[in-house]
Amino acid sequence: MFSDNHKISARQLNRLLVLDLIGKVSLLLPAFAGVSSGRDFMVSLIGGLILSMLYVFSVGYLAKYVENDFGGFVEARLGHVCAYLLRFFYLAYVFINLTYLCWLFAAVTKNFLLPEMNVAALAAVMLLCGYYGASKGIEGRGRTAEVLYKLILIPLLVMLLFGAFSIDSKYLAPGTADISSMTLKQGFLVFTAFGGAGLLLYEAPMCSQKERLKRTVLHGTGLVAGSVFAAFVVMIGAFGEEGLRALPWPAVTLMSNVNLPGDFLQRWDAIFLSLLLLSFFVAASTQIYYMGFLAQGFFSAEEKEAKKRRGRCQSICMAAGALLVFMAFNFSGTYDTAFYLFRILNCYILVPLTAGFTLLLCVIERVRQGRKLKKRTAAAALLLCMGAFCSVFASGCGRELEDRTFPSMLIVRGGNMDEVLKGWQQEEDKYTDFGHVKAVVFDEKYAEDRPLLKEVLRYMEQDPVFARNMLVFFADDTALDSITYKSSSFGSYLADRYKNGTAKEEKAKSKQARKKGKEGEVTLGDLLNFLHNKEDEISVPRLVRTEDGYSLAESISLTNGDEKEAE
Amino acid sequence: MNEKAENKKEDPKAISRSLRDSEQILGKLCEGCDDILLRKMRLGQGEGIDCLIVYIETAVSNMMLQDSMIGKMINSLQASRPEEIYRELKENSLGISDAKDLMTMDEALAAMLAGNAVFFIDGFDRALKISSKGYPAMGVSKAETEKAMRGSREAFSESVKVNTALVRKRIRDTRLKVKEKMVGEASHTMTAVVYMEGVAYPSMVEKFQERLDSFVIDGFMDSGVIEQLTEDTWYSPFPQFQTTERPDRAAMAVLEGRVVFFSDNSPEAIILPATYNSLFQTSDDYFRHFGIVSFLRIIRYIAAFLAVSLPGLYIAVTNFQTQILPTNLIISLAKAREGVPFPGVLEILLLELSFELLREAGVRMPGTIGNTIGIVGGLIIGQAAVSANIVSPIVVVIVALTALGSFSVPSEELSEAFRLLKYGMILLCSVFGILGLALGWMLVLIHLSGLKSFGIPYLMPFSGNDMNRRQDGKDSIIRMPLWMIRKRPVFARRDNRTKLRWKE
Repeated sequence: MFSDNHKISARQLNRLLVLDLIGKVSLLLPAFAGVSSGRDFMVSLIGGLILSMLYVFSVGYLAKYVENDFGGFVEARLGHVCAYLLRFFYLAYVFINLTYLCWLFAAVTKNFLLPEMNVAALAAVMLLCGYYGASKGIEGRGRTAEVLYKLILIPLLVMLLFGAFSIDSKYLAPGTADISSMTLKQGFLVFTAFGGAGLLLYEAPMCSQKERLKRTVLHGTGLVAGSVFAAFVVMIGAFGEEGLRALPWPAVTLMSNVNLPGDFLQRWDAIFLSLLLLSFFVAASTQIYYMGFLAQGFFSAEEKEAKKRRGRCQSICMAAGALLVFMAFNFSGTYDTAFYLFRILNCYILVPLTAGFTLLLCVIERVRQGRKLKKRTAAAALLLCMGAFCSVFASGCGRELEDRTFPSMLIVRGGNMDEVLKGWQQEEDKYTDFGHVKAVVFDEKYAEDRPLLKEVLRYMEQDPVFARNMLVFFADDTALDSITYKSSSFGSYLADRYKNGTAKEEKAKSKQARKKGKEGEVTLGDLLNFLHNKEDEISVPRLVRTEDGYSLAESISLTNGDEKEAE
Repeated sequence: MNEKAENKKEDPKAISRSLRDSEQILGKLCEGCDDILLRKMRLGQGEGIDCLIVYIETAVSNMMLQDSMIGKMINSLQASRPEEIYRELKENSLGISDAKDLMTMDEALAAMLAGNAVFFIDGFDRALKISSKGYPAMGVSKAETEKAMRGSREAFSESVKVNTALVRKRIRDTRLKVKEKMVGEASHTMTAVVYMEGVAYPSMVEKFQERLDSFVIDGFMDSGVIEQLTEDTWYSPFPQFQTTERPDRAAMAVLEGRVVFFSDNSPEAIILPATYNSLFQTSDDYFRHFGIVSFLRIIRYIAAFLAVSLPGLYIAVTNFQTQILPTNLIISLAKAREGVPFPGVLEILLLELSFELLREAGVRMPGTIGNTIGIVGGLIIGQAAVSANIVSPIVVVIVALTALGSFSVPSEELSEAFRLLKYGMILLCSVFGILGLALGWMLVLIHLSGLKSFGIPYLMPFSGNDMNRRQDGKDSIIRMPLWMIRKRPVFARRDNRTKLRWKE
């Protein structure tokens, strides 16, 4: 029959590894790209991923020699002090990592899904869920990961595939990249994102198929690395190098760019993002589990008694760890502070230390091969600590549907976006939900006032409620005066004109024409790419009032020539 | 035999040779039990021998006494000489197949209370149990709660003997073991543990029997009590046993290496272990084409998802992530909600709770009234509520779809778990939107990952499929053709998993 042997299969370990990494890496790595241009960062990315694979290879190599307990293994080779130090470094790594993950989760969720939610509440939710997952032990975690694996990965890969259709090939044209100290530094940062792989050595004795361990971890890390690389290529293709640098969360913005066939659901970013955030819960449960596991190892052998007490000790260590992380979360204050601390402490200090230890152990083990080893079995676990306490959160619910209005068009005239939106809201007795805007009509004057246009576009870029596939038009005062705020279906009319009124061939031509700076439909994304990537020219359609209604007259051309000259 | 006799002498509860003593003891014990009859008689030619027959009036009918084995035995003994009576009883030379010697008064009482007639003879140190028809019970009827398009229509009755016989009818093999046990200090309810020797893990059978022995209860009226006292995780709303009223389902489970538990007075058999996947399977899944079965299973899983998630999803997309739905739909929903006085969450909760009331009323009300309530509640009250602008029409549709989803789940117990979880999802989505839905399912998944049913992970084969070399995956959401399912599932002993072989 089946006993509670507290072991997982190699397959489950693979799933755990992938889900632990995928959320953090897909959101974190593009953030690292913020300081360098796309091509340079591609080089850094490739270098960092190769380094990560090598590191994981060494972890896999070492894992097959770990018999009962990695702590005991280290003690046998490097001594008591080094074993404790390594455990402490890993504990610190996990602590800081989890604090950062909480901030990452809270920031992304607040930005894209729940703008009115308190970040502490989000972090508490993540920690609670993570604790619950960790409390099921390694078997429960393994099973959870095994079931979630396909549920998360397949939709994300589908998203990547359909996101690839929005690639503009000119952004992926071959070019040169500068390999400088910055490139190397960025590459190292990429590597540190995978720095937690060394923790697998503590889980190695819990894997029932140790002979497959190395292959499993390589496969898992390779899958994550490959996915991230592919995602990066798609992101550069969709947004361009500079566009990518300007986005705080390009992976999520890519999700909003995706158009799946069928047209039933308008935007898929909320759904895909929710799926991605599921991996954060898995990652949180992993980190909390590690915290408990590592912390209990600090208690002496005499205090570790029955298996039951060891389990309780770990539970209490996990709860205490989660509570401390929550306190650290609140203490760090903002996402930027947490990111800064994560970069300095984890990336520049703890990961190099732990990786160094791992490599040293690999060398020692290589030297010791063939010699008769004195195996020492390290005693495991326990002691009890204090109780855990989780905060109670409260926040308001969302707005009711009937308290909202859904304009399909936005007119931008007479000032910056704050003024425009404020004016718009003042005309309405209900909350204006801009999530369904199909078309934005700018006053022609914005074409001449480039700084104001940039400011407005940046505002729209930062606010995820404005979809990048909104159509953009210019219009003169006559046309704008005749379009009233209450014409809420006018935006749908404009969008449908292009969708239904234009033949397929014309649409294709229009896309080509737009690429060459000639006439055609222009979206917000196109305008932003033009701005960030300093393209030569873009022609934005112009709306004019006629006797019968409206028509699209000659476009207004915007160029980057003056700015380029200035540069 | 001699050892038994010697032991019997020392046992103070041993049956006395003196009928008077036995009569006194029985009289005292059965004082006030007017349904327990003590009939004295004198058998044999000449002076004869005093005898006493003890039985429960309704369990052993007078007709039976006349015409059955008991009656025939009495008639035969009546014609015998006294010295022959003892010999005939000792040697059971009358060939009464259901007769059994009882050595102690406790055994005699237990046998009598089980619905048998017990025969005491003056000068004889044993009592005789003559099996009778037993208590009044429903016979084998049609399956009411587990209807199937194909397959047997029989259902279990409330007699454990009949139920084990129904399984034996389908598995005519001596390896089918039936282990009987009395549970309940006052109820003395007969229970039976049925399994296939060589196929079921002995440790699983032992573990279940240990759990049965681990408590002492005064009595229980249904197998549901045993379920709750022997399950692994008491606080989980998910059933850790499967129940069935169908003999074919129980027989299939036995052939898979699972254990089936019956108890008297309960028409439901308990099957263990249970997995999440097994609760979505029905007996006629194996009697029909694999294509249609796979399609229906997918429908069931989707139904389960809807049963838990649909109300919460509605709250999430209307209160938080409105950008998901097309503009026309969202405007239409907003217009439909105009004038509704309640917030969306309250509206959903109100209607869900109203539906729960209707469901309860429909179950408790007899016959046609129950059906009428369904129609009245569903159509008239729902329509009236929409017309009065108390609720919006879309919420009625949402609640109806949720209910349909819940009814589509084959296992009633699993469906009840979903009913409870649905409210949790509503609350989470009302606070966290679509993230709440993801969080809710994450918590459910974590809970299910930690759940086990007698050592088998609850999420088999979705997790740990390689434990049985991925054979269990052939009979999960998609059911492969029967010729491809040659191995028993993971419940069966590893050395005896082949169930289908082709002849060369």
